[in-house]
Amino acid sequence: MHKIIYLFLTLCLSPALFAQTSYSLSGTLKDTLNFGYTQYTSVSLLKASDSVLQAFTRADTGGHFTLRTGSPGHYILLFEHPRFATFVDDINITAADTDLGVIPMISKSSLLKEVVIVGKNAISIKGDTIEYVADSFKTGQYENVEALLKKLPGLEVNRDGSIKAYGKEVKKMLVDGDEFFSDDPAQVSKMLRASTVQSVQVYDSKSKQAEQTGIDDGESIKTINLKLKDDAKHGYFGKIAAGGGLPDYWQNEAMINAFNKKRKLSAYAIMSNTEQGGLGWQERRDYGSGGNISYNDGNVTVTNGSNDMYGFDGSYHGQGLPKSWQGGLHYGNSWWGDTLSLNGSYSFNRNDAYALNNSVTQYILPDTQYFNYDHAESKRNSINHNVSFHTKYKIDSLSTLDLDINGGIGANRGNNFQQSTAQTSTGDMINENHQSQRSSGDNQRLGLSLQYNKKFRKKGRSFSASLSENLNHFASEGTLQSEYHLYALDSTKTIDQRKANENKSQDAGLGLSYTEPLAQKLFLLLNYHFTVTDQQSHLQSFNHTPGSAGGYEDVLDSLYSSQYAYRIIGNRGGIGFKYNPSDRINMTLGGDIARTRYTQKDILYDSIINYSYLNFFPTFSFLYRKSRMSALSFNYYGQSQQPELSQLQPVHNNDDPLNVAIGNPDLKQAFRHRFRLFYNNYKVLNSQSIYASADFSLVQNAITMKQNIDLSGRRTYQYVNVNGNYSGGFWGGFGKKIAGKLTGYLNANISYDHTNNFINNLFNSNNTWSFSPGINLNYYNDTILSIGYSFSPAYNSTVSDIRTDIKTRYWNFTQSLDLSYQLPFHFKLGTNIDWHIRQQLSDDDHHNKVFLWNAWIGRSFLKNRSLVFKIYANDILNQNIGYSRITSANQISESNSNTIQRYIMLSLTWNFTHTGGNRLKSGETINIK
Amino acid sequence: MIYKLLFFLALLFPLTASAQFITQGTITYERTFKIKRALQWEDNYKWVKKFATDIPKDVSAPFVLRFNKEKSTYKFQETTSGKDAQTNWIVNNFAHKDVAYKNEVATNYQTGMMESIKKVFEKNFMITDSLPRFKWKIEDEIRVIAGYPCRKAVTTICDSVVVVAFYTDQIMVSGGPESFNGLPGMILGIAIPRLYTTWFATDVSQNTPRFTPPDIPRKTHTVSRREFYEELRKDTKSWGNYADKMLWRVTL
Repeated sequence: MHKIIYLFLTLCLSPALFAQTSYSLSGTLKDTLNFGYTQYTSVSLLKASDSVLQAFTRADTGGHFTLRTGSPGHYILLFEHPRFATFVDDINITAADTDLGVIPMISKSSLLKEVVIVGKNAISIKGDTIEYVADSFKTGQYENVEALLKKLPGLEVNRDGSIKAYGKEVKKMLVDGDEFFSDDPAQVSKMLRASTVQSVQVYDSKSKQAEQTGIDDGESIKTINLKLKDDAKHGYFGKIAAGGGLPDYWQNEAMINAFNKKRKLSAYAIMSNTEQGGLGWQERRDYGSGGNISYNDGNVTVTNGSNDMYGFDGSYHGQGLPKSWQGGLHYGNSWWGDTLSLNGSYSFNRNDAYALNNSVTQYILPDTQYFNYDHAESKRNSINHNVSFHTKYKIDSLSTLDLDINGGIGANRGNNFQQSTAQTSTGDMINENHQSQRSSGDNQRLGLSLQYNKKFRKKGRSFSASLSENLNHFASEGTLQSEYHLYALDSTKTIDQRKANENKSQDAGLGLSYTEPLAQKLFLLLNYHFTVTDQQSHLQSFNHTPGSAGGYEDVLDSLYSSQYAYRIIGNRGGIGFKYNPSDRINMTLGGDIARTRYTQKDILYDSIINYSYLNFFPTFSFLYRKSRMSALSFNYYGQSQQPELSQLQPVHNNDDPLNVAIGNPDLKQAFRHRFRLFYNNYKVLNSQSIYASADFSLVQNAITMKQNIDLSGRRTYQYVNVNGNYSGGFWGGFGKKIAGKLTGYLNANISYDHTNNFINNLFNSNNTWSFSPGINLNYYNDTILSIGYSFSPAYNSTVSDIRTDIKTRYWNFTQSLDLSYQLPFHFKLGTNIDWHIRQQLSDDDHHNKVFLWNAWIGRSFLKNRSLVFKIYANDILNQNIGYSRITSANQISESNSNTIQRYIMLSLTWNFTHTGGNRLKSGETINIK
Repeated sequence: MIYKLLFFLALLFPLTASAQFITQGTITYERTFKIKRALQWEDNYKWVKKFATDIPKDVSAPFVLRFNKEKSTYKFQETTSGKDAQTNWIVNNFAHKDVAYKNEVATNYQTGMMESIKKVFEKNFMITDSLPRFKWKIEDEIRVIAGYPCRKAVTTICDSVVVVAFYTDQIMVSGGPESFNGLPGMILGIAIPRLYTTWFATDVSQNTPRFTPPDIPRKTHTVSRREFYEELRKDTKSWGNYADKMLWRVTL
């Protein structure tokens, strides 16, 4: 067919480098059959061993070509021309000049094959979603996710466990896209071990309400999703820790996570009486105990009554001595290729707290000042059981059904003793009060919600419907003994009553929303919500009679007893438009109208009062994305605020005889205008973030307090409408990688608040402003050394119209330092310091310098270093005195309480891990790196 | 009779044969990122699916290469059609729009110099350097792209990333999309499996190209290829493994 020619030449490819050893190859292409032109035929010289292209050229008008190569050896020559068959020839170059002579070009044939593109791995940084591959950042073998997050550029972890991503607080943390016990980042990041995490994904998600209604409320929620490693999903891991300290402190924990593919089974148990353990695991449920009902935004919230003693939420705020026992169980799984998924958890907690509190409050009135000295002692305990289930079923690729069930029962008990005196600045007594309260209560609650979401093939069209039902029951029993003396009137009053309180509420709701594309870039959003709430509130007071059985008579004290039945019917409908002229601009304009009707039925006095309000909620938002990491947004929210029932007509209550509420049935709705401007810019390569936001709000007909304090120090208050309340603020932050492993953050916060109110029939304005800049430096050197330092001064100023001579202005300086260092021989030490300095306002202003210092040293044992022994010293200088200071409108309040002080604790922690190896079934994919 | 016809055709061929070779013109490429596939292979597909049921199969963007024997320019083509303006959450988040998305490359084949304008996150770069050299492995496979038969050639960049190119010898300029060059003809197709990205010519027209000067954004650093790589390497040092994948995308 063709002849093979071997020729021997010497030539050069790169004359500069191989001038002495280059080989040239030449030849002439001829169409021997048809005598056609072979001009422009491409001639490529490939290495025979790996067919790598060495040189190429084109044949000239005569079909002649010359090629150069750098070394002798076996080559392949490739001749290509559209009209001719591709001709491949093997040659062996041995001489400096090789002439191949005439090479015939013949008829055409070629091989066509489809290209199959097979991928192995993927990319990890995706615009707004930033994904961190966990193993790229070194953490200690058994450290939790929190330690990992500290090392990720752009993320900050505060000491209290709260997390910020690119300057914004992370509000949600998911594990493989699902809730894990809860979506509380502080909890989830402590629950899982860093080494089980494959990657950390940070992105913005919509608020739950926006997801449900399809109406973008402008709130984006920074969310972190933790992707677990596959091998972590085939085994179990956890830890057991036991600690005991002096004087009398203990902290024991156990946690286990057993994962098997999609099944997640986890359990934890914690018992602790330190600030570090249990109580940080917040139990954030609201237990409805009646009292106030507010109905805003179409959502009914039932908050605790004025007597807040039942509402112990289980979180520790640094006051009192806590003891807590907690446990939980979580199960998550999905079936049929994630078509059906289920997440369920049960949790238990028991919290005991003993608190002692002393406070001094200075009241600044138009013509006088007086001081209130208060001593309170309380013992509380609460036990709660909670169950929650979330099930999601994907009916098809466009529709889903979600079912949520939450329920719980709980019991609370509390004893409260309080002693207070009020004195003038000259030391004359105004009033004196002793009070002791005891109560015990039970609560039950159940919530159900069912939601259906449907998308359509037409882009932008969607429909969702939801049904919800909530039941709450709360009952308590207790006694109240109180005695107060008013010196000006020289009168003494005593109260000794038994109280029985019962609240029942149920509400049902229906929500519908629909979106429709009107044009390519314009969308219509419609929503409608209907809710009915029924609540019964029964408060019974029985006076003490020495002779009767049990000490209390059976006849109600009619003044301090009440029985009400409420019905609240809410209808809310809204229309909105969304306009996306380009992928950089997003605008929404819309408004809701809500009608709320209250019926309050007084069962004891057989009377009915109706209230009805029509509320408006206009919104406007504008978002401009300069680039994918930089955006500017402007929002306006208008909102009617209707008065709360307790402001219209409060329930008579003698729990606090020195503070008496008076109703105002003529209260009008307030209307709040809120404007917000937000700018953010994150530079990925420099790890530089800039965030700034400014907001301003103005309230028309603001519902504000009108208070009267009489000569005996008794305070009566009523809510009235005023105009001219406004507030504004600016917040900005700047963060940057300074050098290598050192990052720095600067931030500043300025706020101003102007509030009008009435004090002793005088019109008063309070002007409060604060300024707080801050600086934060962090340095991490792998797992060996980490240092974090922050300095945040704050300036506060409060001036009120009625007493312009008294100005409360002071600076506060807070510095903190965190350090941990890996020593040789598997020792590790750490320390953290909080140093607070507050400007002294007067000579008797104490405790304005506090230096809190904690330190620990630990050593790890065993071959895999899984056993850790640690000595921890809390508050080494014993300076924690539970001090707090609050300045507001016309009062300055200082308090100190018993709290956790100096102690030393020895603890032993065992981290266990068992991975079941690769138990992948056939058909499952393994990600190869 | 049939021989006469063949002879006649053979006489015509010298005319058409030279016409089959192109030395100047305009090529439109479509760069396609197989987003669904990329996400599927990543193990975050499950959670992505939670948020979006309509993940597009791929995301594409047009580029135009204007060339003659002396030089060429390669430019992102802004589209006015609504397709690109659509704000798909998935596309916005996962199509790597921040990393060398709208590159512009000017090549001078006579001096052997190349200027590339790339935006990587917030930084604009102009990389001025000689033409990068690739070690092309020529294979047997032929594929027709935009009506031109193209031969497969394979190279690796960044030590391990396989690049599959398809070139046609009917275009006598050794250029291609982005910085790819050095084959005995024009590259009409590029596939980088590990980046789930392909460039394929959709149209080749033989005309006299109108070269336009490059759009140099404000605050552009002029760097050599090495400096560019070193700077990004330094910036992404703490990013760990995945910086590599970004660097692959950037160095194309």
